[in-house]
Amino acid sequence: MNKSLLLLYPLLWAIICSHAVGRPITIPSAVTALLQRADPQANVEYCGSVSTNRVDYYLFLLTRKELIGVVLVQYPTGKAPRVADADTSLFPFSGFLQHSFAQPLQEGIEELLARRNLKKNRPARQGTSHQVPEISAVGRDIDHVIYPISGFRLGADSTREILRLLRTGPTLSVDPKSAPPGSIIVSPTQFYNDGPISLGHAGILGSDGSIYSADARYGGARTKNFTLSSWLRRFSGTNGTYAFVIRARFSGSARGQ
Amino acid sequence: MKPRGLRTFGALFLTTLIFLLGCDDEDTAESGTPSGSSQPSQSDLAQGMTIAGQAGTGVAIPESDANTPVSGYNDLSVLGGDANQNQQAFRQRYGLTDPTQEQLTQWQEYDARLTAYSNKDADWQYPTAASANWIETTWTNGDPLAVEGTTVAVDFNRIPRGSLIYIPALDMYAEANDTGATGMWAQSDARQSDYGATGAGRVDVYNLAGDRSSSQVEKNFQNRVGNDEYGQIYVVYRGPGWKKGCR
Repeated sequence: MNKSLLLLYPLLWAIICSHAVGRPITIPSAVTALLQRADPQANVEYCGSVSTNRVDYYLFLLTRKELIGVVLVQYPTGKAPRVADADTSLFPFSGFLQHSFAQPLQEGIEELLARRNLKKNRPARQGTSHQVPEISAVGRDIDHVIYPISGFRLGADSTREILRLLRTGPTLSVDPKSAPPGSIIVSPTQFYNDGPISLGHAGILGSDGSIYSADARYGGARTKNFTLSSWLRRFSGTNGTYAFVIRARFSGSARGQ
Repeated sequence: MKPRGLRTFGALFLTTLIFLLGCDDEDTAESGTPSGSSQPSQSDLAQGMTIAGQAGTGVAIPESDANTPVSGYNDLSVLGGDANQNQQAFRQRYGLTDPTQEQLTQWQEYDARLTAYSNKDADWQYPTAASANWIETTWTNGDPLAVEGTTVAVDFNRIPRGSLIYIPALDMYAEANDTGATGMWAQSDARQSDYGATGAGRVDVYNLAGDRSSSQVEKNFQNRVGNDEYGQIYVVYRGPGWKKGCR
């Protein structure tokens, strides 16, 4: 009996969710107010909602100058809405989203983002394996430069995940203020459930003190858009800034795969 | 049967050899960074230089139309005309560089109302109301008009004439020499936060409109600094004293 319930539960939830994904729901004013409070200066794009019988989830894109990110707002029945997650990418899922019971919600988020990308003529990249529909190109743009040279790649567009990968990868942590050229600079997204949201970012330090990173104003193309000092001013107070030198590889084989 | 001392010596020798082999692998074979060091090795730095060089190639050069100057790092083209060149010349002449974090903490930071004014504004007058202020200022070419890329108009009651200011949103240094209508605006802005105790009031940044209308200039400027007028400025030096010895 218990086993059958365990099998039925995700299936039932999947059915409930799949019927509700993207359903044109009017955004509750409490959700709108939360987002406005969380980042008053950001442009907000509504991607859709995923509903269960007790909780509604609303997915938004936030754009603020060079930065773009995804925000998931959780609105349980009879309670106040709260920011459930926010970052330049929600993949790989973390927090409560990584649990198996949240599988239908994960699929709903992927579907909403894929629909949004399709609408913007940005189909997900084709590949042999399952590709998640990304919004930000913050990690991809770094990988495009560092992988052919160092053999190391991030493979993630989430600033929190990028920081984790750099901390555990073949790198050396250095002081951001005196980071040498070629260092990877990352400021992870920070948020509180009631706001504010401070979108993070990541880029590569050039040889003249400039920073190259994906720029949302130009469709995520790598752009010379910060100096080290302007980056520190922008992110150090709210997000924290970390810098890493990638260790030189000593053989021809690629690492970090 | 081997003597006991020889066996001990052998064990010690093997242990030392294993230890040395481990150290050798760590120090030389991988990257030249001593074990336990947090300093990048020469090969790490050399690879970094390659990465830095590669990062700058193939960088997107965004398209723009003539009426919508592209914004970006250290780019003041939104101000029109020769704003970039003027800012560069201004920096070179007075030895100004991108401020460090330490400098920023030493300078006085103020909330400010960042707005644009241009030669297409209806209330633009020639000569400007402040043209007299340009005598003996940074620009000695005899042109009494404002200069795009270095000129801001301020309320002299709040920021003394000739002060050196830095605007982080534009990464721009300017000399506070023009005033125009900032004094008039002070009354209507009196209740705004930028006119509080830590406020510098309205800081009008001069734009050379070119083919743009006055409203287009304002729109371009707002897009460059953000969607609202609120911002920060740093007063690097109050009054004209910072120029002593530079001319």
